[in-house]
Amino acid sequence: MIEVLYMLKRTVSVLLILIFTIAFSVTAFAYDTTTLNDIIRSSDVKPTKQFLVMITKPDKNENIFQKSYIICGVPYKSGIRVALAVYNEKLGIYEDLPTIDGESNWDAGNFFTKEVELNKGTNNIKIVAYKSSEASNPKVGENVQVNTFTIIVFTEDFKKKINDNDLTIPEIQENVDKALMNMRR
Amino acid sequence: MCRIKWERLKTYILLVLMLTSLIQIGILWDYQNHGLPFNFLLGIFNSTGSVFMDSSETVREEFFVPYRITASNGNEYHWIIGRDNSYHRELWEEAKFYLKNALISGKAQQSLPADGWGELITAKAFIFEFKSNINHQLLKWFMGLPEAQAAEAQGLHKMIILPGEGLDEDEVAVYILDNSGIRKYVFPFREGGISYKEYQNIIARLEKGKEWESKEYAVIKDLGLSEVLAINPDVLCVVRGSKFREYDSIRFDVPDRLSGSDEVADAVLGDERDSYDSYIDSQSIVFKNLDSIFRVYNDGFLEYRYIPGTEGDDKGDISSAFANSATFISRVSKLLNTKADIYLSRVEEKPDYYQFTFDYRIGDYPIYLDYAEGKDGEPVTSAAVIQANSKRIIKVRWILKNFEFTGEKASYNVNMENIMNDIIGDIAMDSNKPFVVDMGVSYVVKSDADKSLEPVWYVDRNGDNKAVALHKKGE
Repeated sequence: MIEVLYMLKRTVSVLLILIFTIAFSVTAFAYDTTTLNDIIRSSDVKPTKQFLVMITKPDKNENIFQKSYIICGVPYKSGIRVALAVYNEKLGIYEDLPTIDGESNWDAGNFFTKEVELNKGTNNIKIVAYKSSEASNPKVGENVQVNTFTIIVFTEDFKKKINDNDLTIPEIQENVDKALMNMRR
Repeated sequence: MCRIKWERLKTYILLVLMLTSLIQIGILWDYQNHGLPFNFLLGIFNSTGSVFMDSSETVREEFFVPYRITASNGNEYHWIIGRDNSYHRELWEEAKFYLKNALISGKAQQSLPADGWGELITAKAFIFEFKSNINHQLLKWFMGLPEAQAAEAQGLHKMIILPGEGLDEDEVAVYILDNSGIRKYVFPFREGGISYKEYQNIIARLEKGKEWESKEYAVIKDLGLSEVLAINPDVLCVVRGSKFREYDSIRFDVPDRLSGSDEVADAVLGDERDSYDSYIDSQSIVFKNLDSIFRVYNDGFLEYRYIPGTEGDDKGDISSAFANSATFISRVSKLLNTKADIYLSRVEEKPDYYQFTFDYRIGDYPIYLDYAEGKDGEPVTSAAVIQANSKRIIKVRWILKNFEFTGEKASYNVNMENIMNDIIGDIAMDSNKPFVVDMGVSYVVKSDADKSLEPVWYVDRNGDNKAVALHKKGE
């Protein structure tokens, strides 16, 4: 009887070890299978330091008055690619944001400036830079740089009203408050 | 009685003879450019009495024009206001009015360090740039102000008119940048001049007008690059819209008029041609007197030397030195039959003289000369370099050329991304490499072999310059 119990105990122990091993392995396996696409789409990936590309524009969140926006950067090293995405609030993921030339992913070269057309209102954009030679094994913070910015596009109408002094101070304040709320979201 | 009258008449005749001989000596003396002792006669007869002296209001008007005028809408859009556009003249008239007020009124409202310029140019503003700093004495001469009238030692390199900036609608802020930093002045709008509303309307027209699309730029400051790369924050670059813009080629040749010695003598020597001997050798026309020699070569190279030199001479005031130089440039330019004009690109103060550098420009595009050597064996990097003091011109080196557009237009890639990828290795991210003062589409003459030139991208690094070929559409 004692022997049976001893065997059972051993079996349970082995099984538990096996379960734990498999469980940990599954986690590791899941991490390894994170693709660049996942990093670009996910809203959970935290921003990193700028260690692959110095993004000179935007260098902070911005409020602008026209839809055309310039993204500019200087890579620290060669062989870097850059992907651009914008957050889709309805779907809860980042989607490709193509430049006016239709590319949402490009070789950074020695320097890049890209023109994009933003939507009116809030644009949460994500710039992902990665080593193209290590694209199949992306590791955020190691060979992938992620930066997010909020660009708010005010309407031409709002700008015209400011120029023409047609807005009262409280009205301007209201618009700015809305913009700030959007930024914090 | 008759004898007294006769003696009196003889005295008068003697006095007239003495006076005329005095004038004669003075004229001969002046031919030799000693300048003394009878310079007062110049004042009396209101004659400048020298090959070079013929200063006039026209000369000031001709050379006191900004290298570039740009407008900014405060939202990262900048436009070059071309010299053929009516806004150019209107805006420059306004700028001169405020500049004069700044010089006369004296006290600036605020002084700022020069590195604040980058912030100012991104505001909704009108910007006036000269190629180099004009010191306060020369500036006063350009503005027609007597020395005593200007209260402040304010020079001019660049200037901004900023209508608005949190001021009342009836006030305009004017920022002036010179070698000592930035000074801010606030004035009421010029009566009968461009009002606050009209400034806004100009910007609105630039934003909407299709014809302005090819003149639209961003500045380095807008891209956040002025903190990263050693480039002036106000350097213009193309980042929006089509990568390609259309530019004409140019051609150049030696002016036909250089082959006629009479025409050359008239232009170079003016009223003084009788005091010079001339001869023609196989490659040049030479005019010479005791202390001056002009040589005009067949290839357009003009050389002048004042033989006694300048040792011990006082260089005097810069305005007279410039007046001598500009008058000469203006007169000799009559030999040219060109679509290009010549502008003042650099002013330098040397121990014994002032040095004025002039360059050619066609339309709104500069033409740079880059000959390995001129006829005198020295490299040529500018159209004309004149060394002068307040009394006379000491040395001239000038490449006389006619320039014109060929009419053969082509589309070239002027997008900042493509250009920077070609040149970024030459641009410093620290202080190891020269600072980029300006960049843009230009033409560069390197030799007389190829007389047709396509535009290039020219990086001006204060002498250590670089020209990069532009890629044509389809290449």
